[in-house]
Amino acid sequence: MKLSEKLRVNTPNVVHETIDGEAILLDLNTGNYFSLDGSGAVIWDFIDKYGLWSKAIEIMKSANTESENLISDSVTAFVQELFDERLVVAMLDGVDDAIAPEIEEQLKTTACNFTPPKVNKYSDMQDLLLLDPIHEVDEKGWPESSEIREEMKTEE
Amino acid sequence: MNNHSTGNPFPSKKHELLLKAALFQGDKMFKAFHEWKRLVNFEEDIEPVSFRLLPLLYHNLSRQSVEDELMPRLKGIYRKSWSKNQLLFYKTGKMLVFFHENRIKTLVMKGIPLSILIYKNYAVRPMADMDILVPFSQARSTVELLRNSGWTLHNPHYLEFNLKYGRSATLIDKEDIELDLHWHPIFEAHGDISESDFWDQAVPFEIVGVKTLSFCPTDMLFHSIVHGLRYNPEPPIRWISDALYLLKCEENIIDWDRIVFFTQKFRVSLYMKDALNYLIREFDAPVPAEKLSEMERIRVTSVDKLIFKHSQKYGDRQPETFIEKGYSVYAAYMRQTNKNGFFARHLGFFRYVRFRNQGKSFLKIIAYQFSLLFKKKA
Repeated sequence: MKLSEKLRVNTPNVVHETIDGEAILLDLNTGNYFSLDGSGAVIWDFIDKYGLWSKAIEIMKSANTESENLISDSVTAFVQELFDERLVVAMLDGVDDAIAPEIEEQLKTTACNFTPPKVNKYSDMQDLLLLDPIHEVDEKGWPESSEIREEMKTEE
Repeated sequence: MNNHSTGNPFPSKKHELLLKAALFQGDKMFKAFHEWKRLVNFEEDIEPVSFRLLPLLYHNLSRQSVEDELMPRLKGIYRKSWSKNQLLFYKTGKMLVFFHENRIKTLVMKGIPLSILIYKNYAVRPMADMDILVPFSQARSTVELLRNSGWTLHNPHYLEFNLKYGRSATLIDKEDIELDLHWHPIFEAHGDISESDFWDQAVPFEIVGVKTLSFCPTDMLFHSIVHGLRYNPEPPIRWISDALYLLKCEENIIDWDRIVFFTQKFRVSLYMKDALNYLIREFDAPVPAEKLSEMERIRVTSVDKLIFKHSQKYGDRQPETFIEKGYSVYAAYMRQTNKNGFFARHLGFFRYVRFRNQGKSFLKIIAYQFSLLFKKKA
């Protein structure tokens, strides 16, 4: 599907929250769950606020001219994935708000130590909800299945 | 006053430290958090009551930039709570649409509006079910509508009794979604509730784009305390964080005259005084002294004392012995009746027991209970 210039979060089907630099997204129609961290979370917040994703690329490129192509290609691919997953949809109207200086600064900081954004998808919500979050989690607090834990124990 | 034993609506030392870590700022928060960590083995000691407070703990620590080895796991718990709540909100929205299509007026109670309107956060208050209040006049038709739509009524043999003397029914659908359908917001003094109580100051509330109503903050506070201050095998200490968020929320001005009025009307001054004094003492809750004095001056009858004592000692626990059963049935009756005078009240009690036991005479019930007693002994 062709990407629109201006996007918005696909509410009310998609709900999201950014917690300590990590955006978590839930598609209520499919039950799919997504996590975006690092540059992904920053770009997601930018799209949520302003919609103009290409503007985010522009700002990031201005802060890191050496990685212009990497920024452009990886962010475009990332936004395309968000669009294909129906997490964002085309915004048909709306005014262009002036970009807040702190948001611009955040994008520039992200660009200076740029790592390509990634969409982490968890398609089995039930698994995620049923796992024990005290014992069956990895070092980042993400649920980790008992099979993986068993494997790790065996390896140890 | 409070023995802080298991099941008590007032917290144990560990629970109190956890609450303080989840609610306080700065040094007080740090002190409580480190003391709680010292006393609790995170791998082994986190029971459901503490578990339900962990998203709020994470939120409070994270807001104050606390760095601790537990933070990643707390974040995972917060994330899980956020997801579960989002799914519950979505299902509640669908449920409300269904009700509205069938011309049933709705008001969403308890956790959902508290999360959205007061905590202003979708994760900090984990929930397992949806609580929807409908007008008493629509209670029966709503239960029938739900049953005809595939919902299963929990304890169907108690429906008639509940419609006459109770306040709610629990229904479960094929996906195991639980709905607590209420027709009275509280159990206390039903005879004194008018159809407009609680509805008269309800505020507009929207959940996943569906418009409904919620209690006003004052009624939320009153309800949180009266509903929370009961013995439960899983201590219902969350009433403390709910009440504190309500009391400390800047834009939510509590109408204390209404609190005093409801306290008197529903005969719950013992609950309110105990709860508010505790919140002032342990959490510096902003409660106007003159309103507390007004509540102190409300006349307390021996029946009020009996009901209160029962709620603190047995509350929602399943009675085990014959004496406990009798006491619980008697306290439950006294709790909801508005009859005055010894004879009127006790005549009502016989009717209540008869109705509860589907028409069996009082003597038959006593004989049956005695037979159970002998069977047990044999």
